Parts: sequence; C-alpha cells; structure tokens
Amino acid sequence: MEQVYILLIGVLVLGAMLVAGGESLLQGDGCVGGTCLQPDGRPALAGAVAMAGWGVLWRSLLAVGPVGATRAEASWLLTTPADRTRLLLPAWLRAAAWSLLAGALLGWLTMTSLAGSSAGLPQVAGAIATGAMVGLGTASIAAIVQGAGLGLGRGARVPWLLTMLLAAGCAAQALARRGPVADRAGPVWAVATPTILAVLVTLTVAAMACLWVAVRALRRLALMDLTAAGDAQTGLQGAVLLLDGSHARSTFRRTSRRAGLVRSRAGASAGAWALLHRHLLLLLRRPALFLVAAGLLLVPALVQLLAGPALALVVAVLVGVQVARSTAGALQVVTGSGGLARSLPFTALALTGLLIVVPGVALLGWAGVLVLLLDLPSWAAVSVTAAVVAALVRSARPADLSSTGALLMTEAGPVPVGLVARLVRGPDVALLAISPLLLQLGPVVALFLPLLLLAAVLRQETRTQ
Amino acid sequence: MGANGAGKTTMLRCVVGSDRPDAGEVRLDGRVLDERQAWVRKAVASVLDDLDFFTDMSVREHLDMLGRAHGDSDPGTVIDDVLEVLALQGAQDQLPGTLSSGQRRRLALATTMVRPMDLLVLDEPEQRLDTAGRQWLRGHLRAVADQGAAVLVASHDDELVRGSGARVVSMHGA
Repeated sequence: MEQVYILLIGVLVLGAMLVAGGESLLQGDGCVGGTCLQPDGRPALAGAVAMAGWGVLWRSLLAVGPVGATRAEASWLLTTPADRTRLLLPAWLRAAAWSLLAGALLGWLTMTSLAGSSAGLPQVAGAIATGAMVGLGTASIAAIVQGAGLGLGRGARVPWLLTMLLAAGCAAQALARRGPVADRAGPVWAVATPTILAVLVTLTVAAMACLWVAVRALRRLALMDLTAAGDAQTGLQGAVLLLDGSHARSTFRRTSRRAGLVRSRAGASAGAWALLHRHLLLLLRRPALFLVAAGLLLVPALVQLLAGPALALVVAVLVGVQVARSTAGALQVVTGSGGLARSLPFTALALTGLLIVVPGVALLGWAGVLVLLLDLPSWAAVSVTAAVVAALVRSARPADLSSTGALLMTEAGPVPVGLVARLVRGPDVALLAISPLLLQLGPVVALFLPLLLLAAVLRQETRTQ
Repeated sequence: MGANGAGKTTMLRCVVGSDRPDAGEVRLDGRVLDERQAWVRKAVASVLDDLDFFTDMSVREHLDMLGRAHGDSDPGTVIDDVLEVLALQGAQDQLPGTLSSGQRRRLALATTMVRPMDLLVLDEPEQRLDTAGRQWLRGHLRAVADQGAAVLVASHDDELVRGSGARVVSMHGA
C-alpha cells in the first residue's frame, strides 16, 4: 500500500504541475510570462513524464500477462501437441501492438515536455518512433519475464537496471549543471536530430533483439501463467465494458494472491548481523521502490526550478519521509506488535536502532543525489538523512485516533485532532530538524540539531516498546 | 484453566511483561521480569494475541531470521524439521498475509521452536488447530518441559492440558 500511496502522491504532484504549466509547455522557447518553464526545467519534466509513463506501461503489461489465454483455450487448444509458439503468437502480437502504440504516445509526450513547439517535425517523428521501439522492447521483456516464471520477483532485474540508469542520469545531470554543460542553451542541444537518430537506431536494434527472444520464449509459458493472465485481461475488459469496478477489484485480489509467493532466501551470520542482512534482503526484494525513490528526486528538482531552493528542500524532506516509510515496514510491524518485538533478543532501543540502519544507508545514498540536484553542500546529505530517519521512527507509532478527543473546527466541518496529529507525526520533527539548513545557520548547527533530534526521538519512542 | 474473563490472558500478559500487575512482581530465576531487557527476550518465548509477522518475509524466512537472531548461524535443518512437524512445508515460501488462520497459528507456534528458551508462554495454543495438530501440541509441550524449560499455558482444552501431564491451576476471576 505504501508504494501505491507514494505513486499516488507523485502522480498528483506531477499531474498538478503538468496541468498548471500545460499551456506554457506547448509554447516552447517562445513562451513569455511567469509560468513558463526555464530551459533547465524541461529535461527534468521530460524525464518525469517518460519515467512515469514507462512505469505505468511496464506494470500494466505485467498485470495482464502480457500474453494470456482464456480457460477454454488453455483446456482445449494449448494442451494439444501443436506448436505453442504459433498458437500464442496472435495474442502476443496484440499485446506488442498495444505496447508499441502506448510507447509512441509516450515518446510524443516526452518530446512535447522537453521542447514544446520548438521541436521540429524530425524531432517529433524521431521521438514517436523511439517511444514505439521502447514500447515494443518493454512488451518483449515482459513476455520474456513471464516465460521465466519468476513469481513475485518477475521483472525484478528490469526495474533494477532502470533504477541504476536513472540514478546515473540524475547524477550526470546534477554534475553537468555544475560544469561547462550548464552554459549551453536549454533544449536545443538535447533534441539534436543526430542524437535522436542514434538513440532510435540503438533502441530499434535492442527492441528487435528482445522481440526475437520473446517469440522464442512463448513456448516456455506455463498454462497456469497464461490462464492467470487471461483471467486478468477478461476482468479488465469487463470492468471497462460494464463500467463495473468489482471486476477490477477481483482482478486485483487475484493478482495479489499470486504475488503472495516469494522465493525464500537463507540469511547469513547470527545475532544482530543476521537481522541487518535479512532487512537488506527485504529491501532488495522491492527494486521498484528504488525506481520510485529515484523518480521522486525529480519532484524537489522541479520545485526548485519553479519556486526556489527553500521550498524545494521542504518538499524534498516530505518526499523523503514518504519514501522512507516504504522502506521501513519492518520497523512499523515491530512497533505495532509487542509479540514480535519480544521474540527478538534485543532491547527495544537496540532493535529499533538495527531496523533503521538499512533504510538509513539507503536514504543517505538518496540524499547524496538530492544535495547534488539542489546544489546543497555535501554534508547536508547527513542532515537530511537524520531528519528523515527521525521522522521515520516517530511515525512508526501512529498517533491515537480517538473519537472522543478534541475536535478542530474547520470550514469543511469538525476534524478530530488525533487525525491531524497522525498526519503530521513524523514530518513535524523532520521539518524542525532541517530548519537550520533552511535558515543557513552553518554546518555545525545544521548537523547537530538533526542528530540530536534523532537521538531524542529514538529514546522517546523506544521507552514504551 | 478457567472460564472466559477469569483473567488467564491478563495473567500471561503480566508474566511476559506486556501488562503490569496491580500488585506484586513476576520473577524468573530470581530476577524481576522486564520484557524490555534483552535477557528476558532471550529467555522467554511467548505466543499471545499480539504476535504479528513481517509482511514481506516468507514463512521460512521468518523462522530463519528468528533462529539466527538467537545465535544459531545454521538453522536450516531445524527449520526443515519444524516445517515438517507443523505441516507448513507447502507454505514455506508464502507471505504471512496469504496464510490461513490455522497456518498463522502454526507459524506462531513455530517461532517458539527455532530458538532456545527458559520459559514458554502460550495463550490458548489449541485454537484453530485440527485434531492432529492438537495431538502433536500435547507431545510438544511435554517435550519442551522435558528439555528443562518451564511451560505456562492458558487453555480451554482439558485433554490437552491433562494429557501433557501439566500441573493445573483453575482460575475463577474476581
């Protein structure tokens, strides 16, 4: 659920920005006025559009197969000794065609975000063709993954690869902004025709190679996977045709049940190290989380371009808290379950300390890229990490939501104070921790206060566990 | 043993430290029990109604983590035995959220079997266990006691309690 929550917030924030700036986006370099994007902002926006669109495409393909068969086909046709590749080819080509069209649309949207009306016909055509190849390649990889029968972990390597590419891209962009590339003109160099041509040729070759492998992988598709995908497709078609959400809900429940199986991995070592190792394995099991976290780096980067560095830092920390909550499920479970905490041979303080090590290290890496993007000093990564981890520990125990508690009168009606407390519990301490950074009080105070707050929160929250 | 509301669970909660008695104190080996202390968590294994599981960790991984956290650097064989005894082999790669209530109960019991302990505290462990499971539980409680650990069980199952050769305390409430 946390991932859905983060995705929802990301989509809402980015969507609101897209709608608000839609007109100016289409105007390109000729745009004049306060709402126009600066040239530096366009690559970030285009990156966000491309990543979000690709993410939706990838998850959609996995959710519906991408190759499916009805139960009747599975019972009669696919159990015959006929070549399964030939039988499944039409279904596979349909999925590939839809993906190709979606990719083309995504390519057009990305180019519009990048250059608006400044892009010429060759650039737009190139972007559409590139997007189409991305769509085709994505569908092919999804089919290969489906044939590999990897259960919940299917496709795990692909998000990993993309995460690394995205992180490298963010870091390169951040470094470039400090170097001579920053002096170059905005979108002109980025949309040069030779660049697009080179990318297009490379992607076409890669997509064709993936397509060839995917067709060969069709024969490996298990009946169980095919019928599950067929059920999902039927459910979605029913939901669309009948405008009935129950079909979609049942499909979601079915895919969730399929996702309830994992490949168990043995731990390592013993004692506290074993807990750390297990926690690391849990985090690595969710590569999509890293992709979301890397993608959400673009939100503060965009805010900085539109509203300045102070608000960008505030947004960055709030986004960081949401990302961190997704990495800290173990901490939340232990905090909420006295029985689980009692079953582990550590004091409450030691247990909480152990459970924030892995998210803390991941957050430090995230904050390292963030400070590069926001042009903050490198030590600020430690401050941001400490602030977010403090929020993480504080929010692991939700505030009491008492119906008999005090009410806050608002124009929308009375709101329980407990509800407000639950929403701000965690982010409040994070914002307090970064206040020295916002006020530019220097590295000593800006480092000391977040670490002090982290220690205080750890002591407070583990006193009653 | 005792009727509903007699205070069995409350007493067990006081023993494991998740509740505080109105008077008196609970001691283990002469030391006052404070469940926040590491030595208590090492010595006392319990299954009450507040046991939850990590949502992203499979059945086998839960047991592996617990065994290793308690100092066993190679718990594989023990886990295999426990999974077989509790008929959880087929569910070993499942996440806890997909287990049936009976399987969750078995997993909860399994968490006490992959770790060393001086005191085992169980609250109505027979719940959601089938006939074969109850028979196994009776022998298991006896075996744990024979290995030197103290066993404290609240139960409504007369056959389970008396069959395991336990000393019975009847509670009647206030």
